[in-house]
Amino acid sequence: MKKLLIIPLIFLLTGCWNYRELNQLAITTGIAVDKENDNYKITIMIANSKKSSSSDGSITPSAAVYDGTGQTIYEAFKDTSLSVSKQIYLSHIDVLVLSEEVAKNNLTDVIDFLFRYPQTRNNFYLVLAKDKKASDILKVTTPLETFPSQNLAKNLEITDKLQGFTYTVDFTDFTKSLVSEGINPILPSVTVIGNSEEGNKEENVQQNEPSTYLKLDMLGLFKKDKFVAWANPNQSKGINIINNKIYILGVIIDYQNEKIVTEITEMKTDFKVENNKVKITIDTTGAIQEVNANVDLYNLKTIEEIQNSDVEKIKEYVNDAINLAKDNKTDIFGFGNYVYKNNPKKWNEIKDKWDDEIFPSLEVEIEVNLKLQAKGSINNIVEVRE
Amino acid sequence: MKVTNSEYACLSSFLIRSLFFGPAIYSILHFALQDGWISIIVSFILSFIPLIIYYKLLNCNPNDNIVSLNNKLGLIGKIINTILTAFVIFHASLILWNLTNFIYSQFLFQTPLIVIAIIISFGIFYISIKNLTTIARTGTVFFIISTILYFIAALSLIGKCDLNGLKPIFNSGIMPILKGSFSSLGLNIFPLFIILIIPKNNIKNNDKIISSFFKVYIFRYLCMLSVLVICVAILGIELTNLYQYPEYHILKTINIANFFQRVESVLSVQWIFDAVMSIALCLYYVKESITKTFNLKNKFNLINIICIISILIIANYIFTSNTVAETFYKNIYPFLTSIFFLIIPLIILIIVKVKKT
Amino acid sequence: MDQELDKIINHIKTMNGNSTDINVRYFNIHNQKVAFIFLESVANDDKISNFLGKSLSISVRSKKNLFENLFDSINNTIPNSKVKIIDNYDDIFYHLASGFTCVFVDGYNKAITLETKALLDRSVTEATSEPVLKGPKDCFIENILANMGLIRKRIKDPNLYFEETKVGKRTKTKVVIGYIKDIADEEKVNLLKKKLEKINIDGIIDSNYIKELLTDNQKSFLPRVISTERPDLTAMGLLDGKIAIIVENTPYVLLLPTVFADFFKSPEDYYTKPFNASFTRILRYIAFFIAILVPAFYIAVTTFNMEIVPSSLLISFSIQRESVPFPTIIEVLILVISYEILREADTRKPQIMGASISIVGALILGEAAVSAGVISPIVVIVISISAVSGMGFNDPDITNAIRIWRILFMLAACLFGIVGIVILFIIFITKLNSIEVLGTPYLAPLSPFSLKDFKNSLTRFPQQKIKTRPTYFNKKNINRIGSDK
Repeated sequence: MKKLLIIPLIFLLTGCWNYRELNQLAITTGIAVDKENDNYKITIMIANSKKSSSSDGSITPSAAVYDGTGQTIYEAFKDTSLSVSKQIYLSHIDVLVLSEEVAKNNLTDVIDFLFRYPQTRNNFYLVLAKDKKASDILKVTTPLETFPSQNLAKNLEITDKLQGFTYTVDFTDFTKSLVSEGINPILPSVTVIGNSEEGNKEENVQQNEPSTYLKLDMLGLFKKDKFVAWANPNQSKGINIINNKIYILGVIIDYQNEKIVTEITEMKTDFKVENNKVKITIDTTGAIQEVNANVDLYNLKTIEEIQNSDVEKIKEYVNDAINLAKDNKTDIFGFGNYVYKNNPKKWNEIKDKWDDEIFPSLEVEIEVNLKLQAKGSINNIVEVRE
Repeated sequence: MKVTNSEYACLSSFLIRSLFFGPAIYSILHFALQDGWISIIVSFILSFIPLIIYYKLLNCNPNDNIVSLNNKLGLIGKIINTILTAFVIFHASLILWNLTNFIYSQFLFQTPLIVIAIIISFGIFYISIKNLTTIARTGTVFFIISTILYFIAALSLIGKCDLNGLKPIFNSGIMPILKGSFSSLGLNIFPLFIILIIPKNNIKNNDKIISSFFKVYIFRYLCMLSVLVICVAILGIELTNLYQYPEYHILKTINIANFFQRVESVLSVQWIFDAVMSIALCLYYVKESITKTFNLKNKFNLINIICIISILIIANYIFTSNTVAETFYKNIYPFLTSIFFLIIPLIILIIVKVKKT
Repeated sequence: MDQELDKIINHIKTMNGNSTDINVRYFNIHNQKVAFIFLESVANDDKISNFLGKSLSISVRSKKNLFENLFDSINNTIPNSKVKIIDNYDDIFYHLASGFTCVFVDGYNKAITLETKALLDRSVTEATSEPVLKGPKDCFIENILANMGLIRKRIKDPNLYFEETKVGKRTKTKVVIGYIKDIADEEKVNLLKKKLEKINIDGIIDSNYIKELLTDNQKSFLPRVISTERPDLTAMGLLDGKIAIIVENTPYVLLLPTVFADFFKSPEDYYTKPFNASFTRILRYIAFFIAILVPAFYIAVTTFNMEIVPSSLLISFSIQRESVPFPTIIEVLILVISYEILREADTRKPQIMGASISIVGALILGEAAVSAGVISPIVVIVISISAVSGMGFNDPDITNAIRIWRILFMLAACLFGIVGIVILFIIFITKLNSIEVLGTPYLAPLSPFSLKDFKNSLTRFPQQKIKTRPTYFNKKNINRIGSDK
């Protein structure tokens, strides 16, 4: 009886449908989307697995870049596959770069394909390309990583924790803020320093200081799914503060015309929206990191003054950010979401008017509790004696 | 062919979870939106009604399973048996459709649907030709493996939960919550009727049935509740409603220490186990029912082969498209199960009680 | 049987075709002809001459009827203990072949046999196939009485019963069933005895024949009976409630009934610290599943479900695959088959040719094939992990079973990826669950779940904590520590 079961199996061996060998796949590590005369242009970066010609079989992967155009993203991919000798495989995308023009039109059209295709996973990062075409950004070689897309992704991950004014968005977060009520998405951006033509070549990484490299830049604000504005570094810091995404933030204040840097390490932000008023509460602790002024850190009053200046600075960041959002009539912080969650009936009445009318007219009240706990390894400034 | 009471409880738990990971979550969340968890709690309370009916049917005559009980009622009983058997075949093919659709859309998306269904049917066929003790023991092993995988998944995701995603509470209103409960009852609880194929005397320690059954039942309910809550908390209700299999997409976001990532394929195996075991149980029901009602002998396991082929054919050609399937599961199927698995057992119970007095 | 001496002797000689090892010695005592027959190949000359010297001289002196006197004198004087009276030719030949000497007196149709067996077996030596570092090192030999003695001296309980049957029409091999009466399950013993009676075969050479004949109606690749060379393992099994089957002329003793967890225990676990033993046991379970599943998982992950692999690893895999002309499944199959051939060659070779085959094999498989571009380095690693994990078991039956299941899983993976592995795993577990050895489920204590028995199957708790014998074997006298109920 059991032997009869094996016979139908043999018929199934004729061509396993989903069977693909690894070297038949073009493993895509990064995608860039541009707009070219009303068509979408897609540039993909493939991990090239060709073995180098040395006889001991040393493995050096390298990247290959291809592009294609089409009226929809799907067609553009098909166009790209006409020039690639392998099957495009999208499960290992690290980063998706979008140009400004694409972001200014309906972004949902662009990401719908990636949303629906079962191969793509949802943990890649999205970035905007500032002042350059997205494909240029993808082609810049770096001495630190083999693939530029990996370089970008790792850069995003690290700076997310270190800087405080970039904002790392992965696909789940982006789509969640797109579809949720009362919140609009934000994306980081990246730009090329130097000549982008040169950046494409191997010689760029063979000198000690590459002449062309990538640098993370300002945040981009969206309204629904269209890009509307850039945020400068102070405003970006404010956005991060309100969205509770700060791990480390450096606050620079002027004290007697010199600069003192306080590093904030824990920041917890809470906000409440009631009756057209937003109350933001920020609890932080900080440590003095760099003192360039001639102050006496043993003096309690000095510490208090530094603390107050820090608080003012933080409030300034937050106000900058909120004003920017109000000017562009887009609620990127989720105040509307808060109203929806806690007072759904009221939200139903005002949700159509929220972004345009009510949000710009919200009063903002900020309360900052800062504890300047530490001063670093030394207690006072370095006094140079004769 | 004896079954212990813990094995009995494990077998029943598969029937509860088999339709949960696709249609049930979809219908609950589409009716009740973010109050889905309230729907589940309400359905837990309401589920005592069918459970009491099933328990009384179990106790009617400790030597008979539901099929021989019906046969004793004469011609009406045989007609009822045939109708119930046909509906159980239908239920099994719906579970098979769900599993095939899941595998087709996430794993093997270029393989024809019929081939996926055939390869799953091999596994199901092999289980169903064994006797009841083997099926029960296999059930225990798979229950343990499913539970371990569930705990790994839940513990990895619990750090990302944001309970604010469950607000606003009670926004949907009472009617949608009740509709969600009803679909949860229809898709998850009423199929428990199929476990009545095992007569009471074939269960060892049958005085402890209720306690062991309830332990497993409450545990499974908590699993379902927690899966729903985690899905809505992490993804937000709009995104959860957008995805076809939100639990699978939740598993894609697991990333612990940059090492334990990309594990969704391995952790989703628990659903394949659930579905396969419940279809095997349905097949066992059908086999028993046909042999006892029509007094046939099961030579060369012919009945099993015919049933598996009919389940295959129904599962492949019943729905013309995905949207038709979703509407069917959401709107129509809970009513069908309530007729066949609730009202008919009630009728049987009444007839048996009348006959006894 | 005839009464005249010459006819008897002739009959016996023609029964055996006048074999060269039949020796007959005639006597004439008080004018009565007496003859001894023995088979020189199995009888011990010293003992025979001992008998001839002592007892016959006594009988010569007495005057009564020789036959009855002979019996008394043999009974009272001969030093060895086994004396029987036989009256048919089959039994005579059986005893002659077992090393007995037969005494015939002219005019009587009965024979007296007494044991004068030669020592044709080796002495009790160190176990070769199941070595243990810190424990008793004696092992069974081919003599059934010595084997029984090795067990008897470890369990001095009067409840240790040994019951004997003869199996095999031509070989008439002695088969002894040993069990402890008030621990082992009566039903199982009776079932076993009935099965042994039903065996209808012409020869039993080794205990493996009995193993096959007892379990032939359930076809499975996994072993269902433990066969061991160590008396300490047998004694532990008897105390757990198992039944031992000792077969003549083979040092391997069978232990029934067994469960799957028994193949992962080794006697060494009880001779070292409990924590180390638990660690090693869990490691063995993991090794079993690694050995079966890793090649299949590799094939599934590189051909169907590539999303499981992180990006950098995937790129390195694909670079390695670039240079290989074969599809993955063929590559893995080539390596598995060549590994199996190497292993087979390794076990069959005599010691002298020792190291060369392993070195040649490793060189061929490792360096040369990779450099020639026939296989990729990662496949070599995968197969070596799987092979090494599969070798850590006591019983070669498990290793053979792993071979077959490994290939089956690989085929399932190459057809359908992870889904294929899952379906085959379901079939694997169902198959294991359907095996029942003498009524004990094969996957106990996992399958009829009993948490108490995990103490001695999955891990090895200290002796004080293992309070009961395995509940899936027996129901009475369950307590090991404390008083028996």
